[in-house]
Amino acid sequence: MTRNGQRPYPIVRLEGVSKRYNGSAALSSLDLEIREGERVAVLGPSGSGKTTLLHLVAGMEQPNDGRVLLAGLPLASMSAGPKLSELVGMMHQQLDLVPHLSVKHNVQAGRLGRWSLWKSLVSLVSLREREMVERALERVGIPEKLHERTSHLSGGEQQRVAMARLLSQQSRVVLADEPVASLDPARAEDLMHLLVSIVAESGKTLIASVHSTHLTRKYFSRAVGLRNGTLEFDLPVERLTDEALNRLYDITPSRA
Amino acid sequence: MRPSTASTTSPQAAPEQSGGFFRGRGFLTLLLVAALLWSLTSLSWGSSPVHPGGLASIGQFFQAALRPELSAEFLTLTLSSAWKTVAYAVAGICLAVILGFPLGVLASGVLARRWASRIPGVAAFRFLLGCMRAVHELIWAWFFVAAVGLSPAAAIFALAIPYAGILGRIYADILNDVPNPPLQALRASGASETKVLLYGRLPMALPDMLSYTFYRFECAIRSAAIMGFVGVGGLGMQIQLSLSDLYFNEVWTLLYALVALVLLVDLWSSWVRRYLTS
Repeated sequence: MTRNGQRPYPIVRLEGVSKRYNGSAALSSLDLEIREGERVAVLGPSGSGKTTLLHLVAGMEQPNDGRVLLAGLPLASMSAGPKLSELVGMMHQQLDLVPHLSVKHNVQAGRLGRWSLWKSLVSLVSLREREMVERALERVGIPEKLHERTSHLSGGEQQRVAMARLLSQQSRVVLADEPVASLDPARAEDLMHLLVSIVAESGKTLIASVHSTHLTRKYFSRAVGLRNGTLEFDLPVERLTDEALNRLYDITPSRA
Repeated sequence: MRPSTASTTSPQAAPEQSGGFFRGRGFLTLLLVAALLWSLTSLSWGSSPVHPGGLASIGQFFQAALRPELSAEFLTLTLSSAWKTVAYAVAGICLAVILGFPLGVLASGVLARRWASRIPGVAAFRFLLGCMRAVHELIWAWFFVAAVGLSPAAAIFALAIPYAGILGRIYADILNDVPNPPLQALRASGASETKVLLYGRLPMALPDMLSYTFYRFECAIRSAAIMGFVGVGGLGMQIQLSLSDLYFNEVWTLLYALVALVLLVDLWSSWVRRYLTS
């Protein structure tokens, strides 16, 4: 981690954030500070609030209590749009590409926040910022798929397109919800490596919910454990112990 | 692929109901049959459903089916009126798409992000579309013939208005039914609702919209033929003229032309639909 060039504020800050769905708490009074360039793995059993946490940081949902600050500014004061999209970009497990469009259009979609309506319209007919699109696809290793229809790609390839879209969005924070959950171990490792190196190259911040402790130890700098919507631990990965993980997932080997 | 609004009540598609008789399909069937029988008894039939001499006419009419009028002169007339009918249908459906598409987008409310700003617009444009399609094309035709006389414009407008009402309504529904996650992803990359429409909704909705438009084009051919009855020409007018002169052989030639036309459009549209969905 680079400690030099520190900014006066953390890039992401949660202050006493709570979120309830129909009365049941998904997150309760959570405090968290993440500095620029950190790679944070969010761990926890299903239903522990990982996705809710990511959605709150992405501005896709509003907290019931507390507030979220991005680069020192309260998220609630920013309306969804260009400004927010320059700060945070999100990648979902289901990828959420538009299957009917070609790969190039899905990559271009990352720029929509910055483009005028006219440019967005023209871009559907003739490729805009071609170099950027080609570079992004090159970086994720599928430059030959530029003109292909997205629905014709395999799951792993679509994952790469989603990453290329994040590249073209160039947000300072990248959020990823179970980015490699549906892939076999070898491919999951490949793609996690790709995601982390893309983020690291440009000094971005990564916050990802992850299932595998192996991937967490290998690719992340910090591990945050959630359980029933509260913070169980918040450690640098070097200090992440098996006991801490067992407590998190409630595996008690002694009882066997 | 069919738009989700087209009802999916085909017997194969509906799952078997296992809950008792009163909740099952048997009860519903009985109810419908009872309703049908009741509606038949409530009609005044007179002594016999067929008037005297009617049976002979029906016989003549169906005998003529085997001997359609095939003289070169009449075939030319058939061809030219079929052409006219097609021209009305094409012009009418094109105008209907041009009118119906923007109205459909407005009626879907997809351009407004907030509920409060969305409701009034949706209600107003849905109401407008409803009015347009509530009135049958034949009534529009009478109206326009009265207004602009027996010109092709009357037929085309009469066709375009109710069809724009139907298309707009279905377009709105299709645009609303597009899967949401990809749209959320576009919003997350900073896209406004208009850009979400361009980059997400329309690409995902287009195959269904086109497919439905083709289906409606088929209907427009039939409507355009009927339109002839008010005197603006085409197959319908010739059918009416021949029918009133009791030239059944001519009627059949014209009917065969109409059937051929609808079948051709059907073939073409199913080919296009297959191409779109593959």
